[in-house]
Amino acid sequence: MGTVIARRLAFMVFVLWGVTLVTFFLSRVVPGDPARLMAGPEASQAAVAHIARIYGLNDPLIVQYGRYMRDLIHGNLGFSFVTRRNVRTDIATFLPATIELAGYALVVGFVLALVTGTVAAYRRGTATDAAGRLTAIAGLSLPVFWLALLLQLLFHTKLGWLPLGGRLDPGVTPPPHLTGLLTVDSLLTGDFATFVNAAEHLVLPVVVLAAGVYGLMVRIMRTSVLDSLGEEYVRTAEAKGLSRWRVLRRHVLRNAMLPAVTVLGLEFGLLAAGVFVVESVFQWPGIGNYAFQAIQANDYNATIGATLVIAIIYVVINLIVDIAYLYLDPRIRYT
Amino acid sequence: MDGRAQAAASDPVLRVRDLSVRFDSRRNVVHAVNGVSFDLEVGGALGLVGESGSGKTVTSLAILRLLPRPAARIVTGEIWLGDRDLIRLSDREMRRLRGKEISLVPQDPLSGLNPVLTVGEQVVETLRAHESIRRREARHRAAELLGTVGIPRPSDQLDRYPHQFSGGMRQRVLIAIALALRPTLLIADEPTTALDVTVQAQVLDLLHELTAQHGTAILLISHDLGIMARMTRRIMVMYAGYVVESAPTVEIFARPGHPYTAGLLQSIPRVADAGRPLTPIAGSPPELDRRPRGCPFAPRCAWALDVCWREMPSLAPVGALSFSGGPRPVGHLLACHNPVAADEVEGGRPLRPGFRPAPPPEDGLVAQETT
Amino acid sequence: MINQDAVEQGHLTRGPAGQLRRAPWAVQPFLAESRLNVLGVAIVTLVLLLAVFGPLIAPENPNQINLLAILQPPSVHHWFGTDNLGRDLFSRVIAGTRISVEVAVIILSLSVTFGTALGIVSGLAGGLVDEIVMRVTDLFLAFPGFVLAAAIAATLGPSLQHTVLALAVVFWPWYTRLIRGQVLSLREREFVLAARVARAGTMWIATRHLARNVLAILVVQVSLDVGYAILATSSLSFLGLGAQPPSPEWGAIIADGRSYIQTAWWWITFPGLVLALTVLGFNLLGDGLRDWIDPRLRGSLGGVQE
Repeated sequence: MGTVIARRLAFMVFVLWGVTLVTFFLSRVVPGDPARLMAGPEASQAAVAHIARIYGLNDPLIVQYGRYMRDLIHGNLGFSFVTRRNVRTDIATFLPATIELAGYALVVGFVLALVTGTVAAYRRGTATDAAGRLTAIAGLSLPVFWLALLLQLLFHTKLGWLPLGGRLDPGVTPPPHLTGLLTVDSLLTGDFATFVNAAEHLVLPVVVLAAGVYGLMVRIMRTSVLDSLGEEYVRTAEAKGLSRWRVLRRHVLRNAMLPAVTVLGLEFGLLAAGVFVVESVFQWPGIGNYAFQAIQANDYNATIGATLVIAIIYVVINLIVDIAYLYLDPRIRYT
Repeated sequence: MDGRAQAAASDPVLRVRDLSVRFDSRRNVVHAVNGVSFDLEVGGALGLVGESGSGKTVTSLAILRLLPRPAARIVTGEIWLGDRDLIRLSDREMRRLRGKEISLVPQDPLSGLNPVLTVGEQVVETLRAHESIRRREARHRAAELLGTVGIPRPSDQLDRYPHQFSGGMRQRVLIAIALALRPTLLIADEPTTALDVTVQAQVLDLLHELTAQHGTAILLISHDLGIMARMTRRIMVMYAGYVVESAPTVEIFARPGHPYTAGLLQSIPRVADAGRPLTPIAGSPPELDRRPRGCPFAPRCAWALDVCWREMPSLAPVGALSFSGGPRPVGHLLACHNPVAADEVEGGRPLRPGFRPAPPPEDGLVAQETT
Repeated sequence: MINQDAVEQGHLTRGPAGQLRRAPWAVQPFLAESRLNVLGVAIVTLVLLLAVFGPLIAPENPNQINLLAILQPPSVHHWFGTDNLGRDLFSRVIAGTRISVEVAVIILSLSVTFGTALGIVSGLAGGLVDEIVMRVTDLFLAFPGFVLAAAIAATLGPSLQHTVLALAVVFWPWYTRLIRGQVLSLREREFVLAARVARAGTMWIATRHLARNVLAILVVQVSLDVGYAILATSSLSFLGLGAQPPSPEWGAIIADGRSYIQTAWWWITFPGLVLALTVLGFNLLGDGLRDWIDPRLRGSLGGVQE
């Protein structure tokens, strides 16, 4: 087991290195003048030359790469000419919002998929099963940006039930920054009204993101529950006289969850993709929106910085999921 | 024997009457079990033998009321456990019986145990499902139970996972679970099929010993006649969902009446026959979605007569042939138009001069049945 | 436990690992298997027809500006309404169909060709070559796909061509891994077996077997990926990284309509609906094919027939 983990870690390091290489490549070897791109389209010629000098953009690529890596290790992601701050500071500011959004989406999507997948498996071949399959495919097929706009149109413009975007209504003061997650912070400080407001703003974006999570997970759940149900130990458990609930929980689900865990990595990929669009539509002040604005404004450092951070998070989470799977299955844990 | 609140010791613990089970799928109907009846006395040992598709496992599942719903249905029949008809019981009442009065030793020890729970947890949950005892006491008893089935250092083994045990050990665990609550009836479905030959004997002996000790009746299901010899007092042979022969074990081996039974005997490899080719039964089991007009074994039968194709033989006692005494007419039941004669058993084919098995009639072999 | 019906219907074969497979070209039974399959095939056929014959059906030129008919709600003249320049949205959506299909075809041609070739080479060559290829593939797969595509498109400069290239870069590793896996499992069985049986014809047997099994899996994956390619392209266009105005690409149309969402609800609704249905169709098709080719042979009998 130890060697397997060590190998995974080594691989992760390799991948992280590759990620930095790719982003460096993207940031330097571009059509056009990198200095101009970094300085922004408004900057004067002198400013561009200045940028070229301080960033050493005229040096050989190897030297530039070395400098880039050194900067990275020190956590220096460059300067955003749009926000006039370090990219690192920007990201630290915006990341919690994305974590809150993606976190809820993952939980909601996962739970829904678990329930639906299990029911579909138990009612295999019936209309319920077919309905489940249809919702799964819908979840994967619906364009995220369109669903977001549509829900916004329906629930805000036409019905007025939910807010248009943002994390809180303009007049509401945010709770003290403990975790950066507004719902958590407001609960921790006992500010119930703010909690409700924050929750209202979360509903639509979470639903949109959760749809993709659900779509991917529900078929896997159904398949693995079906596999589990076909196994001899379920019959053994029933023959022991255990209640159906117990059989479901301890025997069927505990085994069915294992394959579902392997998909978590892919789920994060979906979330990463969805976050860009959802945050843009709902004006959610997270990393996705930040990256999107950066792209629009041709803010190079910000774009590359955000991409890098997202990629790194993705890689690390995949590693955690991989390792968690090794632990969860006793057949692997105790080989 | 336990002082259980049952009827007198001479009454059978299990009485199955005219059990028929049918599977409905989108496209066809499968008659898995047809009109099966038998008795199993207290502490008795009955073997159910047949190939895949014979209906033996479905019968056992029907007794446990664990048939897959909604696909399977018990069409007719009664299953009496003592004074209760199991078919009439509700789910909850049935659940109380399972594990406690009737239990199951499943086929494949590898997949018969949940891989993500420890062995101890799986024994404990059986105990706690039927008795309200504390976890610590349950663990204690679990360790004892593992000891009785011959697992060394049982208290240490409680927290290990199934994959850390060998096949034989796992089967012992399953036996411990099945016998944990001293059931009246134990159903063992191919308990040794997945095991090495050397381990098979040990496991069988264990089963034999423990069931005798507790006075548990055992219904042993297998395609292997060989293991029946040591374990059972009576054997029922099933084919295509029908009982084709039912007799005391001794008679099945000495004087089988049905050609299928004779075929099964022939195909058991014996050390003494080393070097001689094995004689399997030609052909393959029938598809169960068609109800045969005549005897289902006719296509593969070397003794087949014309009437065999047209008329289903009924299960009837072969009075003159049975030779058991005793207070109860044990009987040798047979469903065959043209039984095997005593001298034909060894050769495995009819010895009557000029005899050829009758070919299928032109008007079609079977009667189709659709949903 | 084999489902007798499938055997009876006669198009059941054995895959390389002994698993049972059905023929993807048995169209009739495929359609009979499920209504969802029919729906998938119907939608895909319609989309392809629109892509090919679109310009003939469209009532107006998709780029025709008509300042007298701006922001018209859906009507008999304009089934999907008009946009802020008076362009007929129905015609634009139809034109967008052709763009989406073309784009998907190009992306998949590039990625499938490159990915499959690499996968075969890697699988057959083995050793160091295989190792290197797999590491590179894993590296690409380690990136969240959409983010990578966005970054590439942003770097090269927003345009539809760059988006296509970016997505091809994102898609190819999946095919390499898939094909390599197939090659490896086949290599185990076929070569060893054939080597024992006959010297002549091993290559021929191997390539034919390889082709047949690989093709089935490829068909499934490509059907699904067409949907995802279209979805990704539209999403990138929506973000401004893909098709640029005045292109009638679906994502771009919706992006344009976003500012008018309160006043002209039809602008984002209909193009999005068409996009959603298209992707749904391809997903249903791919899904159905996958279930069809490698059926869960677990009929409603619950696996018990003894």
